[in-house]
Amino acid sequence: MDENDSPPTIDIPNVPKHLRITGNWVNSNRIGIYKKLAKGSSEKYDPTVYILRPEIILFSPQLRKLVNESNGVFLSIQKIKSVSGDVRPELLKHSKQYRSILRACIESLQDICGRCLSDKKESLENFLTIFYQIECVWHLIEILYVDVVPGDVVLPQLLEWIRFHFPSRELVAVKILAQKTIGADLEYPNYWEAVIGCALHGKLDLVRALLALHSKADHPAFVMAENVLKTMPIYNVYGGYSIDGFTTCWKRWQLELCSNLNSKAFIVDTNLEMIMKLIAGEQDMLWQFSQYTDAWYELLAAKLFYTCPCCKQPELSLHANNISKRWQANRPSDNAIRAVMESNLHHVIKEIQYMGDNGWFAAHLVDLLYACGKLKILDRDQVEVSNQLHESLILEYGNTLMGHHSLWQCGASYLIHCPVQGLARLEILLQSLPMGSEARVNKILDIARDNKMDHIVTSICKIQGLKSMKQGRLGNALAWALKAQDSGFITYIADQFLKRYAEYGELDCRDLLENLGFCMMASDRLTFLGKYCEFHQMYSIGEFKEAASLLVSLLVSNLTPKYFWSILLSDAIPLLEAKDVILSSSDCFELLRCVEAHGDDLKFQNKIEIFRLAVARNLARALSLEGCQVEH
Amino acid sequence: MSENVQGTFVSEKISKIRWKHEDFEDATNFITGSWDDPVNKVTHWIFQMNDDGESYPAVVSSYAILGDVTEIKFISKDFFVLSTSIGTVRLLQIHENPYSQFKEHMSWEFIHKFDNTNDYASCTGLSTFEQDIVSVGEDGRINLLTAGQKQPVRSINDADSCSIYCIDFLRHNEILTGNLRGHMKVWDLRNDQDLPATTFMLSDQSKTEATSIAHHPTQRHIVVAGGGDGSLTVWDLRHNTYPMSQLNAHAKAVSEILFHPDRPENLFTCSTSGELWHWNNTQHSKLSLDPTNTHWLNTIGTNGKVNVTSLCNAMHKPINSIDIDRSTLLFGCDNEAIYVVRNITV
Repeated sequence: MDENDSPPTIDIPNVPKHLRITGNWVNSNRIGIYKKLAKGSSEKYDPTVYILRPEIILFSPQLRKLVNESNGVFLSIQKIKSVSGDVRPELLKHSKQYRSILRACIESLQDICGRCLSDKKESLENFLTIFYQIECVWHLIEILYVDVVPGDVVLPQLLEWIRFHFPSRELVAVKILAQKTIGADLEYPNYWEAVIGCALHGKLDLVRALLALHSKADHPAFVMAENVLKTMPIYNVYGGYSIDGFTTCWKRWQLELCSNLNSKAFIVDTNLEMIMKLIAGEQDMLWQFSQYTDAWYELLAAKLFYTCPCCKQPELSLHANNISKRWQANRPSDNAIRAVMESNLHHVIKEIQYMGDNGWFAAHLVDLLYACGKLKILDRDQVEVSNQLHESLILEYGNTLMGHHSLWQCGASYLIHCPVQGLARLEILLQSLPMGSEARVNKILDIARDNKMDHIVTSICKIQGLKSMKQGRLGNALAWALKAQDSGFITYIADQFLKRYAEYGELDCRDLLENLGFCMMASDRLTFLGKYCEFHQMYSIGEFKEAASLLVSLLVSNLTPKYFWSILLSDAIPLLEAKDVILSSSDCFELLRCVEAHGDDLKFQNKIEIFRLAVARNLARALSLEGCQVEH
Repeated sequence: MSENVQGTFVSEKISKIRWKHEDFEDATNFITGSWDDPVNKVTHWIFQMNDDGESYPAVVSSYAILGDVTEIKFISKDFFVLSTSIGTVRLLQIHENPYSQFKEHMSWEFIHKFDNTNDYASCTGLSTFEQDIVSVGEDGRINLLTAGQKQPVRSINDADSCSIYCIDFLRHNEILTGNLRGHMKVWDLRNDQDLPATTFMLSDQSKTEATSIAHHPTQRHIVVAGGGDGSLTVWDLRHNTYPMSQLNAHAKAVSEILFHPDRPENLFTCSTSGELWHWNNTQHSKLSLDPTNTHWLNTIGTNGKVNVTSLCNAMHKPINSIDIDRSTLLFGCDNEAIYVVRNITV
């Protein structure tokens, strides 16, 4: 940015002069402004916070099409980059795709603009100007940088470019010609304007056709003009002659025309004479006709056509400079076009960033040129900075899109293609996205997974888990914790289950816990919870033997949390007291060992006597049973 | 992009797209639902001819919806039900007279919510059987509704301790739900107890979410479910709940599974990975009597009888929804575009 740029000023309403304001970033493109009271001030505290954000035109519904469609082309270019061989024709195709997207956008804007009310019209017209200029500049860049111009003679393409963007006078000419009335100059007041317009665009066939309709078309002066125009040599790379050969031929033709002019051959009609002077390459006449052009580059094309038809790209800048200086053109698009002709890409990029399209143009254009291998930008110290520039523009554009509630997926696909800082930026922005429904969260996770950001996946899953916990949905919290594969968090949630059981005597979310499968191994506490749940399951369907062995294995597993010992031990009592002997003598010894080690829980104090008694009775029964079994 | 695929950018991400089927002719109208905007829309489209004789979709009318549209299902020719991410289900009609517009006939507000915090919960899906509607949500609740009645017929509040992601009406009294953990539950609606008739797993190996369920149009006991890992699993629920076949299909989550309604030997699947596949078994003639009497989906993974073709180049954003009418398929994508694929060989 230039040093003399004045930063934009925004007035904050209702702030008296003596108050200070201060601001904080809300996210990457929002800033919160609030009043700051001086110490000891008697002023009443005002809690209003103003949120400032740049207006992003790309977010308007009419332009979202452009954003999404061009995203597709951008991604397709990224695929080409990895292909070896001559990719230039493919890239040219993509450049044309970008332009056709721009055209479609302009057309749909015109369509809406015609139908809408005046208050919206202004902004739509503003969009139209912006994208019209972008398309114009893009087209020129495509000619000069992306396309391969045969023999490096750029004039034919330049003329095509001019004709494409300033079609109005040719349309008038075609209208006049369609009527085929002799004496068209008398019928149509804009007859000469059309002729001059066509002459400036180098459409000589149209000029001749128009002159043939003139009321004095049979006059020798008009016949001679027709002859001159018919014999004008036009350079064609495939014409079979060299540039030098062509130049000689053309110079001869021009000399002849000049001598005719000097002998006042065309004096019968001033307009005709003026046009012939233009065709003979007279500078003054060119400037007289400048009133019939809308932009300096229209004049440039005419000048080249009549004075320097074999102009090559390097010579372009000199002519461009002369004309644009005299024209005093200084819209951003004028400057950009001049810079393009001067082959000063650095300046081009700087100018197009002022076009007010939120970086769409700069990012996509630079990416295309980068893919073409045409981007060579040197900084002040003559160090090549093309890579950095390319990355920073795409990064900024992606960053802007990430700030939108719906276009964030699109934004992410730009950030992914910034090799240096892209992923780091994506990491930060993904985490700052509002979460919303689980469907949305899954899409965010998907992007994180694609880019191997495991810690982001974990952290988002944990946030979801915590959210579920706040909503009182322990089961869902556990499901997210398992997705996060964070054993600490899983342990924490499993603990919540066990504590709730300890308090209310009921296991929640049995449907989930009974179907954990191998996920149970994710943490020791969860294994304990899963197995304990299994114990209840067995007990409730009457599989006491199975239940008992589960209980004993839980007791010896050493996984039991301290607060849960009393429950486990209490659970053993009915099994010990069952009619059949379920627990063996060795099980009983284990139980006794456990109660010695862990039976000092206060909650268990009133049961400890019963427990000991039950164990003793069961042990007696078990020993005698086992003794009998050994004998047999 | 292949020649028979035509895209239209619509400036909103499409979560659902559904044909409005006609009785004896090709459908020309369809509706879309959007997501991720502050106010979303359900839009009615019609295919029109432009000056060049090309058919293109044009908006007929649209209707603002709060929250993301999460499902759209037609229950008759012009009545459809839609669910939203703020836990509401609406019954709308495409009203033709005097001019085409949407008319809301019923709205079940916030029937999915978290009881603890009283926050709304996303209604993740719904399924219909004639006039009956069943909706599921992130709150793990199942709501049974019927088109003519404001009060839900029945709510199973703790149907699942995790978020339910998908639902399918198998028979008039039987529904199948799939949740975040890939637990599939069959519910017998005649049973007053709020417990599933059977529970089985989407996949034993990987605990991935069930994202979509579809049943065979004529053999309703044949059920296909898609997983968050892109897998497809097929069950024959007459026999048992062990999958008939299971295969890794898409690279990422399956977003929708669709049987061709008239030619059920064609199956279509789309995915978050941007893939759109056509599974076709037409060469396996229906007339030839298969001695083993196995369903074609049974052998989907093991032999080469099934053709799988990609209907378009992979999209760079998730494809969220598909629908087919005869040989014309529609799909909606997160790149804010809708696409039509014509002349599919079915």
